[in-house]
Amino acid sequence: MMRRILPAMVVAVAISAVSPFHGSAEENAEGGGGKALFQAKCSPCHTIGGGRLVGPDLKGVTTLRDRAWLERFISAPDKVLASGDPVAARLFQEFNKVPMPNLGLDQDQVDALLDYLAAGEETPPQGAKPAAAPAPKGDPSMGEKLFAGEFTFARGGTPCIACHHVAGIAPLGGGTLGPDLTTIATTFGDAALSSALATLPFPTMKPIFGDHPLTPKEQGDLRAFFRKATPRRPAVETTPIVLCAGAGLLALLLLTGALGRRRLGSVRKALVAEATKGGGEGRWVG
Amino acid sequence: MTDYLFFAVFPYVALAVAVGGGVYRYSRERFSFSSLSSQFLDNRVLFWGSVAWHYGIVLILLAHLVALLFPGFWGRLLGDPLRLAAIEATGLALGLFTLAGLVVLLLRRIASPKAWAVATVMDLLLLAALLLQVATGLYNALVYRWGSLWYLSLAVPWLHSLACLNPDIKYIVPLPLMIKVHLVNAFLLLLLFPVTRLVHIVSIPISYLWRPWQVAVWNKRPIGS
Repeated sequence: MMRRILPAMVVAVAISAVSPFHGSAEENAEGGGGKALFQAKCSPCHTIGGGRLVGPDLKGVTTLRDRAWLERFISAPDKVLASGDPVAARLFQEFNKVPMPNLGLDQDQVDALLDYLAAGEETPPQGAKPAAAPAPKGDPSMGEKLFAGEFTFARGGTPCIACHHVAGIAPLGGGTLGPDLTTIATTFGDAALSSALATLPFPTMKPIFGDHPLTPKEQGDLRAFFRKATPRRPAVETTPIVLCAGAGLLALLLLTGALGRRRLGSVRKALVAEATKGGGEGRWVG
Repeated sequence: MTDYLFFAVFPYVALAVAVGGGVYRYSRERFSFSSLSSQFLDNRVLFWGSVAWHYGIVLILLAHLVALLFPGFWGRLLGDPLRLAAIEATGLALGLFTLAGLVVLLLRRIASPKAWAVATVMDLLLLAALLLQVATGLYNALVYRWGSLWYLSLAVPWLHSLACLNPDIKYIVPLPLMIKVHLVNAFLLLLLFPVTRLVHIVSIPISYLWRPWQVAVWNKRPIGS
């Protein structure tokens, strides 16, 4: 059978190989210069001369650090940090252990960004815009409901609980695909938190929230909720879900056993008893 | 590039092989569309393996399918932490039940001389692929919670983009390796469909559910009675 199916598989592979699909739309749209790249990829977390946000102010970074190091770090910050690089490790500690995500930039994009940074043009932080006009105060209880998905985001974004935990969320806590956000208000600080909520620039979140950003009111409510939650002790508990699932498994096994004992019921049971009477060799099978 | 091959090309290859291979096999060897049951060779162990496996996997697959086809309904269903917790706990329990059944089936296939005698390389390959799928599913459900909810925002848009012949892998690229393995292996199972006993999925005797009782009568006196 395998031998006969194989030609069909080869044809299918060949058809797929010449398929007209190429890269995502986002990849194709990113051919802009360094400034456009900075705005799209870096500005949610960095400024040039506008002070620190989630990450450092990048003013003068090209004179502070070796270009080769910057190239390596911007291309793959996760790998540089994992390699034990002392500068990357120090930055990681200094910026509240928030690692810079791997943005998947190619060499041309990294070069364009470094040229732009070297040119010394200053940019105001994105978070400064809402700060200039006073940000909505926000309702922490509404923020909690938005976080937990009890109220949906107006523009259709995914509730935070899908991937994030905040201590005190009942009954089994929040998700663990993303980081625990219990102390995010103190870890990030106001400016960075506002900027992060406005742009949600993180690699896993960007595709989800790119077309479904949070409204200013939702950002305010969530900010208020995070501020309220920040004194709590972050503690993601895996035990309760494991215990629940274990109990469920036990119940399913008991149910299977109980129903299985009766599976040779009624008519068949009598037939089986008769057929096997006297130690006959043929035992009826199920 | 690797991501593009795995998540934008391979799914179509797998689907083409599944449909093309399935139709080809049906036209050439219609009676091979069967689970090739070995129930007659050994039933006691099979009961625990087969019942746990089939009830578990059907319900788990159904949840994946409902979320994919009715994302709005699924999102509203999980729009409450208590319901989310109940569904996640139920899903995890069913996942463990499924895994237990699969492990029993695998051990029985290896340990029972009769079952081993009729086993083929493809049977073992299929069991290994299924084991990988269930194990990674459980791992992801436990380590990257809450999968029932982020599945809606990451996997469903990607699957929809595949269905619209406009694959968009941006949702998948940043995900952890184990989630990617689960996704690729799902399409590998589709690829294995026409060349293994997995074909029995489309030969389910659904009429079992409503047909009247059938009484089997032994018309030969058992030896020794």
